[in-house]
Amino acid sequence: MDERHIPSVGEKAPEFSLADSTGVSRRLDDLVAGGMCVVVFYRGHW
Amino acid sequence: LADYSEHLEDLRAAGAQLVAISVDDAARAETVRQELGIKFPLLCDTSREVVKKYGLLNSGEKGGIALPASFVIDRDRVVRFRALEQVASRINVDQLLELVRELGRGADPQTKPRHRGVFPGLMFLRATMNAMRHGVRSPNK
Repeated sequence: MDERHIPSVGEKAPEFSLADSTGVSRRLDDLVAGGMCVVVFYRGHW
Repeated sequence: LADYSEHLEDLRAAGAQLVAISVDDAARAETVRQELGIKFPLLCDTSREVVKKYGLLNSGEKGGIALPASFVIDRDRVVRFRALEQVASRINVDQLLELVRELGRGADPQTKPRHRGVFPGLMFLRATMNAMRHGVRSPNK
């Protein structure tokens, strides 16, 4: 898969499942089930 | 993140979940969450797998971190809005909220001419989706 491709409007967003900072696993499919999800990528503090 | 935090209740009221993703580990993200009083999940992509999948890995910095970006994703996992902070000016969360509200209402584009110039791709998409929707759903709910 092209790692440079950022999903654009109208395209399918890649599914993901990640643990949050408290250890709870969050799946995109579950997050959007209620209607919509705003997904924000941030730089973090590394 | 603080901007989003301020608008969390509004976003939820408009029918949207909110999550933020970085390559920080759980301990770091939890510190940030508590310091900023954030009440939405901070997801930890320490393997950079998701950041890569979204084409947002900035490998030039410290082992690779996420390029700042925001997406509004609908229940079919289709991207309805995208803002990339390295090219666009800083994301205006008010604007994003407005959009989420509009999407949540399933608003007719004609009642909202204000966004016409701003989100031309979205207007097209919404028209298409409305057309599709009429085929499968009753118009009087």
